Amino acid sequence: MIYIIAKGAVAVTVCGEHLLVKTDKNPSVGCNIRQVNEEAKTLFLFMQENPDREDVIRRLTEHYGIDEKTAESAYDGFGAQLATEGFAEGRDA
Amino acid sequence: MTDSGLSLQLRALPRAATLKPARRSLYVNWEMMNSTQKYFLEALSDFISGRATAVPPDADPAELLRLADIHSVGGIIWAQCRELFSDPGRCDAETAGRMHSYFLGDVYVSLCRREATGEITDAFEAAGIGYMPFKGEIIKDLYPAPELREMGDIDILVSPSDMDAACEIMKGLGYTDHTETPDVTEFHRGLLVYEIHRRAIYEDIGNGTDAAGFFDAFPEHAVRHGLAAEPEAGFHYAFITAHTAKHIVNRGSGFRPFLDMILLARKVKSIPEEAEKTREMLNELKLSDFESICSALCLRWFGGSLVCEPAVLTEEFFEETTEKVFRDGVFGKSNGDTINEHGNVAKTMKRRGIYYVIDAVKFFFGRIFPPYGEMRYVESYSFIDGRPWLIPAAWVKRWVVSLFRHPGRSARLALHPMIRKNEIDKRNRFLRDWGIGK
Repeated sequence: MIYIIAKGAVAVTVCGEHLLVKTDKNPSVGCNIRQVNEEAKTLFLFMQENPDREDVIRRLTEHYGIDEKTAESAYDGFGAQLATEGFAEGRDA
Repeated sequence: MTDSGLSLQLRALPRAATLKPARRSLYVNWEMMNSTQKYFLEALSDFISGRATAVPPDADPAELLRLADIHSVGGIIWAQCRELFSDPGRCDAETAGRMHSYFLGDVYVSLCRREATGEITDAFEAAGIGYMPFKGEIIKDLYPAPELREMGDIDILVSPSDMDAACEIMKGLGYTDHTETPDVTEFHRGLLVYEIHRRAIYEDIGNGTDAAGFFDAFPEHAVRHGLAAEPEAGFHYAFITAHTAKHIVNRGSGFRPFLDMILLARKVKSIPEEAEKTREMLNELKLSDFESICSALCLRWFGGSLVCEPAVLTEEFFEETTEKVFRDGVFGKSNGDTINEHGNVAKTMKRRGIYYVIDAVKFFFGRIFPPYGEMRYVESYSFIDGRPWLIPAAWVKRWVVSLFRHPGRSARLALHPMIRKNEIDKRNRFLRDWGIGK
């Protein structure tokens, strides 16, 4: 499965807090915003910059010095969460 | 947590934490600046200076929430005081959640607004319409975290000849028209509010100058990048000073406009010739005394002065003013002060003795035969905008409405200077203390 970050989803850091925000054309209360840790924000940005699964996993292994299996597991788990929350769309590879 | 230690957290926030609480006013009688109020001012001061704020032992989180709410600085206060709000021993979960929701709400709306503004300016560019965002949209970038500078709306100035086309574009982008005056049209889409201006300011600030005419020269004091324009710091600062004065004259002002002034003043003062030019403009607008008083207040509240030398304040004025600014909230919307009720009348009643009587008579006839310049801004009489010869028809409509719908209220309003002279005198003394009176 590959995960494509949804249009309008952005990652920001404000006053040290890492946040994922799904912007809306008609914003209302009950906003779509999630707090994440720094690693999750980094992975989100990798996925946004280049949706290619292999590329994201390679960048994760290089950035954090982790093995490929761990990076794949992080990608799949986090990608599924993003898809559930509406921040990404899952597609068959 | 994975085997390697790479931890990924995506924390869904409880729904309650994503909702901004309804505004409420719980103000209790003022006695003196208490520990929480001092903490509130220190937090704002430290925020704009990039410092951490130590939590006093007796800070009251609920009072801090109330102050943050009425002064529209919720996100800033949460970010600056999160140590207090995240301590379950000192702050209950509801208060902590509501404060956090201010922070999250500010970030969310600011990012949505950024995208929407880009969509609008792209459409203006495509249509060949020149535009200049001003006020909060420019000032926010001077804040250490622009996302946390709350804004009720975004103001964009266009040339009078482009006003109709700009408004059509806004409607085409799905905004609904909430026309304010012929000079400003307000547009809403969800939580987004935009004001398209053909004039930067149209109200009298009550000090006998033609501020509206002065700021019609905004386009000549802007740096252009193609069709986009950005106001020159000094001219923008003079405008923000006039705008703050307008709020003081009308309904009052909270602390946020003074934070804006400090940040913009820093930029102006970084260019000595710009600072000198700005002082000259303030002088021309008869706002030098007002700005010097603001400068002294800012120095006491936040440790930062403005463009003019700080005035010498009496302790009595400082205490009364601090109390009132605390109570007023961001644009005086949160107070129930009777003193503010007389603001608009006091603007026209600056004289004493026989001159007061003359002004009162002029005021009375002004209510019966309001001038074209005022009536064209009232939505019910907007049919006269651009057709001054129709003003007798507007007067007749006004008399009929007044006589049949609310004769008592109309009479009280027309006779306001006669029957509420003491309150108006008090209001005028207040404005003179602020350096705004004639």
